[in-house]
Amino acid sequence: MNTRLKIICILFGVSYLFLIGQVIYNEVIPGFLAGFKDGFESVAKQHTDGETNESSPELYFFYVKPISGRYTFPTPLTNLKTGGLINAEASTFTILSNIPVKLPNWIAIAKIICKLSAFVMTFFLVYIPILVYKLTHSIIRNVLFDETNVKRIRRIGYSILILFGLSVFSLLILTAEAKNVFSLENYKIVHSLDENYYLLLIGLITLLFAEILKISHKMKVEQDLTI
Amino acid sequence: MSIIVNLDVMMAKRKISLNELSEKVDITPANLSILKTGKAKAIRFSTLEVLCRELDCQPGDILEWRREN
Repeated sequence: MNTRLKIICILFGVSYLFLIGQVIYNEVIPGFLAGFKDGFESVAKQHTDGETNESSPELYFFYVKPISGRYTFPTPLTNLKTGGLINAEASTFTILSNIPVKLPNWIAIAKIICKLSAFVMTFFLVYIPILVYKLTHSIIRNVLFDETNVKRIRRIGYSILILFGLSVFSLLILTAEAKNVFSLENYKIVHSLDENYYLLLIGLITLLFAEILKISHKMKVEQDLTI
Repeated sequence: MSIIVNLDVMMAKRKISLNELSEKVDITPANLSILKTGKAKAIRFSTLEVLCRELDCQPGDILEWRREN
């Protein structure tokens, strides 16, 4: 087998698993622990104070753009190194707030769907590495032009596209919700897909690769059956 | 497929077995079997040539076209 292909395949598998591991280590675990701690403390406080009607804080994430336009740096910040003021510009905000807001019904329903879609996303986040592992293992065992591999790559592609769709949906709802809750000085809340475009591109490239492999597989079968 | 391979008919006419023919034309019995059973997708001119030579026939004796229903 082509050694270069084997090396690329191993590197791909390792970097993919590293990427997933990094996301879990840097975002999922700290997020879960922070949420757990917050919930635990909130319950403990309620238990001590005897108050039960206090609304728990909500986490908001949204993209923003300066009202005066990009690269106008409307936010002054203190640089602790020099003590002077510096101008800064934010592109996203993550806000923890317990403002009681009555959301429109459609946002409330969409938020429930968003929360349910988190389970679907978790499933795909587990399913994709499994498919990648099986594919890598198959290629290392010298089986590349195979119908099963075509199906695996296709499933990876569709899974990534589903992840893209769900991320976009969640982001749209989060932004709509933020627009209902906040009105910021110097910034306007905007819809942005930024990093999610990578998912769309990777998904489409994966599907393209699956179709190329399918044609290659067909050619190999014909070649094998040419006497 | 509408191309019929009549290799088995020619082999029967020449009273030659698959193994014998495979030794004479230097093609594995497995590949000859694929050809004989009509599972082959294509046939090389070189293969056709050695088969015609050993079976003393024309390509048309081995291959036949029939209209598909």
